[in-house]
Amino acid sequence: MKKTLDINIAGQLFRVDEDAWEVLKHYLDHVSARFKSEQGADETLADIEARIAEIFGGGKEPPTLVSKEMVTNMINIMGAPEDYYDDGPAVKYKKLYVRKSMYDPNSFSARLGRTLSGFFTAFGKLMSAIMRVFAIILGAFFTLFGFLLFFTFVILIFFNNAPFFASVMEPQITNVHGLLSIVLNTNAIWPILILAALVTLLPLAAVIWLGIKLIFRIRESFRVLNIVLFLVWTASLCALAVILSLQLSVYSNRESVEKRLTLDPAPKTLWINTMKKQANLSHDRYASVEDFRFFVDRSNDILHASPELRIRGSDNGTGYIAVQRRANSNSDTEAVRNARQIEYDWKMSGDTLYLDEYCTLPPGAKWNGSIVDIDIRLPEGTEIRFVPEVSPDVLNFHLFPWKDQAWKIVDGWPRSIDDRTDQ
Amino acid sequence: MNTDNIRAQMRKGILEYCILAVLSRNSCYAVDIINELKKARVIVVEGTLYPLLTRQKNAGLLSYRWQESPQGPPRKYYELTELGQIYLRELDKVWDELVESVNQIRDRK
Repeated sequence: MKKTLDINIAGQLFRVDEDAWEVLKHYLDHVSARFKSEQGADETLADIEARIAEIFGGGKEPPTLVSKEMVTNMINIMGAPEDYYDDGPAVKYKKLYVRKSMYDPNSFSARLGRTLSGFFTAFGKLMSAIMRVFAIILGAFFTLFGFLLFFTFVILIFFNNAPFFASVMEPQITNVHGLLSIVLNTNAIWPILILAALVTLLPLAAVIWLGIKLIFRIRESFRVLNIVLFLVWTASLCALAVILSLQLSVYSNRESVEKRLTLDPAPKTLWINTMKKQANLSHDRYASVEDFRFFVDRSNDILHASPELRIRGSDNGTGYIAVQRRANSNSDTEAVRNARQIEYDWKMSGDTLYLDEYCTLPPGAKWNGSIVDIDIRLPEGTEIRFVPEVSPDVLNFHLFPWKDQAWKIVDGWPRSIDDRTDQ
Repeated sequence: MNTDNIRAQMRKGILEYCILAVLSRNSCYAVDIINELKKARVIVVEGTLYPLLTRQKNAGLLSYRWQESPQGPPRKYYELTELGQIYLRELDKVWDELVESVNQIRDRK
């Protein structure tokens, strides 16, 4: 019975007859010696080994059994090393290799070598399988994650006004266009959206492509395309930064004007009612960020915005109501002028504070951080009650529990005393 | 008189030129090149090709990319670099001149 050996050629496992191995080893040694002193010898030898593996029909499971005839045939195809440059007719192998083999397949070193070779081949296969599984998982994650982000972004930016998405998404998300048209110059919105899409989508597309490459083990690199896309991405980022910085420079300075009314003595119960109602506003565009609301009357080019109410305790037994109109600009003087242009009415009558539910900018004026803050300070024990038909929401007044209408100042903070909550 | 030696020498002289000429049409896997050279009877043993490919690659005339093989490990696909294309054009001229010179001598009565 013939003995066989397991050998590795160009990373592929072969089972070789013992006599075939002797011939093969001599041939490989001879080839190796032929190129030993040449530049690029390792690469040439690796290429030759890869071709030998191919001639033997590698990559099969179980490994191909290589016979002496197969080795002789391979040598006839590949040629003897001394023929490589002469390129004359291949000389028959038997004439070339007359040396007696010194290889003893039963020696300890040979057996140890075979054992270690088998072990590391199996280990290599296992590691290769683990790495492939890992690459597939990673690739699938990249692809899925990339696609999700990709479509989310596309929907948010380009299709957020579609009725279907408007019905399933939060209003804050669907009114991106409305908000941008208020905060930025109208002409700059689409360039900004397109540049933002490029800046965001190109890296996402790269993530998706990386995932696909990992899954399908694609090796092509498309260097020129990569460089072009990177340059496009860099240019888009720079253009976006420049346009945004120019657009947002009008928000660099912030100023405010305040009107304050001292409550001395403060009423035991402060009633809050409203005058101009948001519900009665004429507007054709609406946008909101959390509870801050914008109402745009495009026909008259007028912008309205909701105010913000804060109530706290005071330390000295008296109270006050301070209404602050705030605005931004690229100069202090301009910011003060913008703040003073904000139209907002309020008044105190008896123990009732009347507030507008919205402030208004002059016709044609652009929103520039224009906000009205109402700051009320009341002594300990003072009750605050909204009249039943007014919701604290419209004034951005939020204290838990959200639906309450009545509070009392306790330890400096309004605490709910709403009868409905108590029940 | 045995002409094997002079035939081998002539083939050896034009082998590198032929490799570049084959690659000027398409990027090729080594066995594709071998098959074409064998068909044209320029090469007999495959082992001749590999050291030449390595040498031409190191000289900057060729580059290669790895491509998955339907069976076994990935294969090297060689292609001409820009330098290789320039070099091939020069060799084309040299070859034409050589053929013309030899024909002139042969055809002189």
